[in-house]
Amino acid sequence: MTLRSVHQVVPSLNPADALGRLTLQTRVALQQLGVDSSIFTDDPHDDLRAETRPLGELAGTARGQAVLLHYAIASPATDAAVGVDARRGLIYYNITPEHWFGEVSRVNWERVRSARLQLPWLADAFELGLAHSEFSRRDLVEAGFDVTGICPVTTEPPPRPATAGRPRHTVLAVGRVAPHKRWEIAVRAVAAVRRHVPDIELELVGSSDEMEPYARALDALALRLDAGLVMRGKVSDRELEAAYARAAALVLPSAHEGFGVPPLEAMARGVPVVASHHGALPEVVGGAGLVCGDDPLEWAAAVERVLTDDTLSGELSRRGRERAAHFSPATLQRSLATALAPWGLP
Amino acid sequence: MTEADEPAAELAAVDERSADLDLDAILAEIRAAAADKRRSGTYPPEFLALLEEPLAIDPDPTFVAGPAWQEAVRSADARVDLQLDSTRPLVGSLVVFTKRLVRRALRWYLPPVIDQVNAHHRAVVEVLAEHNRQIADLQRRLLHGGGGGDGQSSEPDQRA
Repeated sequence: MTLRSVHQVVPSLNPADALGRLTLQTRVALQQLGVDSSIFTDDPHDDLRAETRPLGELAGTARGQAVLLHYAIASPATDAAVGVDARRGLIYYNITPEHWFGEVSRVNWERVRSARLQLPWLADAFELGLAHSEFSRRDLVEAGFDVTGICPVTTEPPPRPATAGRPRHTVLAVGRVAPHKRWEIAVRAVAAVRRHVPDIELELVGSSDEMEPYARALDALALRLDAGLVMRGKVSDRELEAAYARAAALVLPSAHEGFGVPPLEAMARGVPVVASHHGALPEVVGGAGLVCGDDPLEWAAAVERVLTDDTLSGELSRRGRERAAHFSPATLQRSLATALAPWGLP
Repeated sequence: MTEADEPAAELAAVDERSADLDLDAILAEIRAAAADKRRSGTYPPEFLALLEEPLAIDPDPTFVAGPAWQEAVRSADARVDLQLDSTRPLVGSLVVFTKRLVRRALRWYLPPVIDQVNAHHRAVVEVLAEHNRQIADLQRRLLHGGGGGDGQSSEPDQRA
């Protein structure tokens, strides 16, 4: 039987977050593969309301066809996808272990815990599990998914060429201000670098909503160490682009990353990346950046080397662009074609 | 297990053989430089000690006690200056007058009792807060192997 439609089901759809962007990119890829594809959610962003359909219409529309659930948290979208009489696949957004949120945010602790506990049960309800990295795919296998694959995050080319030759004076950190990101390693490292390169700053871009105890502790540490930390909070796409343009390097010392969009964005813009050796980061960086352990002084030495060694910086920039080019919409389309072929994709 | 990840092959790491720079060698140099700076006194001992200090996170008080914690703190103080009003038509002003009279008549008695109750409530909240802190601290030690909240990761080293 040939599939006519593969619909997507998401807890929410926001064009500004990774889940929203990937859902929209996946819809384009599916349509280019010759199937009809709608996005079902009860929580769309106002700008995308016209492009979505409510979860209540899913069962009638998708019967006998296929649905892909984007799974990041336990939500009514999961129940809607499980309840439909269709072939069911799950796109897994890696769930951070709950212990990282202990003492900082009970809300997040409960959210990720329930999502993690639900995953083995979903292995019975979904015949296909797709992850964004090999690291995340292993979670699916462990949860009991029989058929798994990789469906990479894609990156769009930057809106304008990176500014060459302009002095870059910040070490950029992009991501949620949350304990598992371990921004304190970046703070300690930049504090050490500033003893030799005093005008360098650490610019942290990301929301600290629901993580205030951690953000306060980080700020206090940065003040004690004179780390030159500037916390920007959540910024617009345009402001983020400007932050990449003035960055000498991007750092991401996370203990847990299911993929790592910021290194990919940085590489696409030719910004050298220094990332931790945990989670999917070595996989994403893929030989195009420096991969460090947990010692802040190792991070300091790596950042200082990038700042002072133009040859290394240039080579990382070149390799980064080359690496990021692999994460293209065409790769996403091919991975979906391979994963969905057994279901009768035309 | 069946895998459906043929495209993963095209996401393999960039080919470093074509490049002039050996990143593994550079990383080894970086680690050696870090170790050398730690040993050689590049950084003052007090700065290195600061680097080692665990992140001092003031725990989310609701983590141990639950969402009711905020209400427990908010309502710990009973009030004696409740607004005196009445929604009854015609007799409303008489009702308010009577309430005011009763309150004045009991002023010698009620506020000291309520002060005692409030003192007890505050002490109970403080004891609970201390328990919250200690339980959160025990959880942190349990989960991070005795270190601080920013301690060792549970994730495997992916370079292996």
